[in-house]
Amino acid sequence: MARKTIIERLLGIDRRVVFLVVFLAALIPLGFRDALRMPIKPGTFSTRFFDEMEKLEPGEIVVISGAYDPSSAPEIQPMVKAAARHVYRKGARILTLSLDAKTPPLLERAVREVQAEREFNGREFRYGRDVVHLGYMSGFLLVIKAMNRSFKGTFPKDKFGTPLESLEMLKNVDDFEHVAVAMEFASMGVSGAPVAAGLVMFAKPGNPRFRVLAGATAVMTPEAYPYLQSGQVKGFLGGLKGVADYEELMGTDTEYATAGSYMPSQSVAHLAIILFIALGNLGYFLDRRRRKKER
Amino acid sequence: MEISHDIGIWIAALLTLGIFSFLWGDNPFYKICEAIFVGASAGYVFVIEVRNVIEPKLIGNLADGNWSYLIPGFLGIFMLFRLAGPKLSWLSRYAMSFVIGTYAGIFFINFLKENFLNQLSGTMVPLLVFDEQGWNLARSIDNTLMVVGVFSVLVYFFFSKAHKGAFGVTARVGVWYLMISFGAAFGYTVMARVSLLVGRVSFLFGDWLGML
Repeated sequence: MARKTIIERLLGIDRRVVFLVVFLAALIPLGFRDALRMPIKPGTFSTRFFDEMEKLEPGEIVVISGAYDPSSAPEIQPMVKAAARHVYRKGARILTLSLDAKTPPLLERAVREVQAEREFNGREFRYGRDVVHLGYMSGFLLVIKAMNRSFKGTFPKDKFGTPLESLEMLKNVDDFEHVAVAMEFASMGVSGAPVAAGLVMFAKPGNPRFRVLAGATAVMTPEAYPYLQSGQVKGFLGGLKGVADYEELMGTDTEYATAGSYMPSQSVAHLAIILFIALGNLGYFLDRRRRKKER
Repeated sequence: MEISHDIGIWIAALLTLGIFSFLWGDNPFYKICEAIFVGASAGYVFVIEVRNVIEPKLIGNLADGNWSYLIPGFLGIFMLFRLAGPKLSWLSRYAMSFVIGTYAGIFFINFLKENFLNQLSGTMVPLLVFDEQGWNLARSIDNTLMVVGVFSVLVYFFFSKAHKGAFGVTARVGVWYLMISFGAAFGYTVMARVSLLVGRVSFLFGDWLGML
């Protein structure tokens, strides 16, 4: 049997070898994440996100809207946690809502985990005062339009069945007029629209402090750029790298900086993919040259 | 190293391995995991829709004597007649036309303003930017690249004139812009998939096997 040439070997790499190498490239750096921790240079949009959050005043309300599910949680959940951490550091309050049926338990869990972090030891968080979970409401972007008129009309009760008027945070709050920041974290375009489209189109308070921020999976990130360029969305976290930037800017404890700890794996896996792309192209061009010579 | 004793984590880990097994090749374990995933997702969403929407918004309001809620109730039932065969499926068109008409009406003004007019004004930026420190070279280049990009891509999609001469060169520049943006989008897609993989690997070797 004739020995395989380098070209044949390059073009014949089994896809399972590629999967295995990428898997190992993701796994091995996780075992050495503290030693491999990389310097992170925050990007423009993550910095803008951070700057806008820094302007929060104690007691202000931040709306966190979610449209993601467990399959995209590794990317979005660290974003929600980082934002919630920042809100609580500034002494502000959180109101969550979901435009996807699968999001509410994830939002609730993210906020609960942040409240239990070491830096908030000794601080008492009370449901109804520091956080309210509105839960899911059907209607896609029209939910935001309805909320622009009345929170209580749109969500008569919170996720746990408590009437909104009985919750301390929402006693005198019924629309975006009393909201400082509204943000959307998404892994899917609600009604096929880009991330934060509902907030951009329908959340229209007269309050000049109101601003829209957003975060999305890396796949959805390019769709958000038009809103950022025009200033309709003030800051943005794009994928896990965006959260790593934000965690860096916030000086998050390494124990809780999930995205930052994933960056070495992310980088090594990218290198492995780039290597395979280069090998594939090398094989292709060598093969093309050989065929030309044979003709 | 301490393996998890949580049954939920064990189920999640085995299902993750089942889905990953497709990378080796199609197999019954993968099929079972796929069916569980689809069934659990559909069942969960159904229950949430009933609890959060149908019970409070429809049944609750009808119980309070708000009979006008019968109209959306019937429209919702009409939607299901799409499955009822040709004799009754026409009823679903009333529900569909109501939904499409409502969405079109509500979205028209806001969509036009935020996704068209504001985007237009966002493109009308100075090519030479001056700030307190004088000429801002970086922002000037940024704005110029954006304006050239928008213009050349629009030219590329203008098919009523042959892409020849200066028009063709501009269209060619537009193609370059499109290719670069597709490349960036593809890069982001790879990054997203790797992030999800890292998340799962972290779960398997950290939460489940306790090795990390």
